Amino acid sequence: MKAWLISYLFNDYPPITISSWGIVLLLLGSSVILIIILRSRIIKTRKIHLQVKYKEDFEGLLTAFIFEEEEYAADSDNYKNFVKQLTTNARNELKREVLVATILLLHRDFKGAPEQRLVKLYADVGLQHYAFKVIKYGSWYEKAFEFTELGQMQVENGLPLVLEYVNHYSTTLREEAQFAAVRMGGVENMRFLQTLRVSISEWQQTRIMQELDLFPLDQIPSFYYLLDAKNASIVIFGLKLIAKYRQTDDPDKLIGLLYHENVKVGLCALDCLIAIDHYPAADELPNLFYTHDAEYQPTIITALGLLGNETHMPFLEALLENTDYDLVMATTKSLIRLGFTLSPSTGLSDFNKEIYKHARYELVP
Amino acid sequence: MGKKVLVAEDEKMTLKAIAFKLQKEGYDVTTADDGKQAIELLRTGDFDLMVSDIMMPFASGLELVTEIKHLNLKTKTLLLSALGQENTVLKAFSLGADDYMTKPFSPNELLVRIKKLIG
Repeated sequence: MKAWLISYLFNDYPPITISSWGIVLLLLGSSVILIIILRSRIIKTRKIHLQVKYKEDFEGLLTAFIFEEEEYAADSDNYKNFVKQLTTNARNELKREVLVATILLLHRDFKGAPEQRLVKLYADVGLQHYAFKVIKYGSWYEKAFEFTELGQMQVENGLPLVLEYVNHYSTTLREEAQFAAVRMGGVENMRFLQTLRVSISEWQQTRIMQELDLFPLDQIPSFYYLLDAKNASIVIFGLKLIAKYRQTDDPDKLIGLLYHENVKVGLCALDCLIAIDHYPAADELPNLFYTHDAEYQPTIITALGLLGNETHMPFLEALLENTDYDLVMATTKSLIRLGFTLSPSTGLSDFNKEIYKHARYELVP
Repeated sequence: MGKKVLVAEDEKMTLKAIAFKLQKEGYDVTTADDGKQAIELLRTGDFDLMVSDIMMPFASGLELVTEIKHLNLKTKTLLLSALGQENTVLKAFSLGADDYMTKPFSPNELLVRIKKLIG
């Protein structure tokens, strides 16, 4: 077929004509490609120029708006006209893009009255509806960007939409949705964490904790409900939050978690009991000691030194006969914390005496 | 004529906003959008106060404070930063900064602090 076509097209023409046609086709092709490149460059340059122009316009308008509080009072005609003007602008995609970026930038750097005014303006102009549309139909990175935007502007009515993504298979989308949900819904709406099926990373936990720092302490709810989650990483996160805010609602629940099948949960529960100074938990620690591998035993003994009292000293003294350096060191430190002192009558081995010296130096340098 | 304030901030939007707020309050504001420009202005101008971001190209806010001390200027300094870490704050004060605010900040609080520093 191919050979027949070539023969049909070119066999009746002299070679020079074939070359000319080739050159013409090449030139035409190159011209088309050149035109496409030039056109895209012109469009891009024009877009950049327009972006700069819009940015300057919006910067001026928004700066005046956030600081001229009287002139743009919420019920004033000035404010209504301003909202109307921005609503019209927002219908143009490029203008909307620049407007949102400018609002987000100002919102990032200022707090107090300007921050609240920007949040209200964002809602009144209806910019959240464009974000909702992108979340429904946009690509994954556009969705992730919109989560950030809605979170920053605290668009609470967007929460149900964002919550649909908190268990998404894409890590980026999932984490941005979770973070946005905390920012949008605030501390009262953090119950969604209980429904998370995938582990929540340490990085994500840190981000959420930092976000919680922005809330007044009296608004922070009890996080004990997170201890009922099936996802171990959420239980650990709950324990970290309980420890951070020194919440003492149900210490027995924490003691129960010491025996959790996931050792990390148990150790976090231990940290938590130390953080809230729950001394009665010390009585549970000798039992706990025997249920754990040698790797974790020094941690339990350290906790006993922090939560225990002189009644736990015989248990600790018995452990001094052990040959594991880490365990003996932890035991010695705990004994020192509980008031143990080395006297000539104390029948310690040379190994123990040496460790005692180091432990004492580390605790009281 | 209001008191002379130099505002140094590399984020142009924030720079404009701070300048707008201070001008509205009657201050004579000069702006610089990087550390190098701020140093040049400090050498030629006689400012009552410098409000500066810490993280800036060419010279940081901390370097500007050092420069003010080096030039023996009486310009008071208020540093702004997204860095709220204790060591950055301590370093700022040890270099001689008069005040420090962490971003995001309240413009009204900034104004109160400026009034306290230069009236």
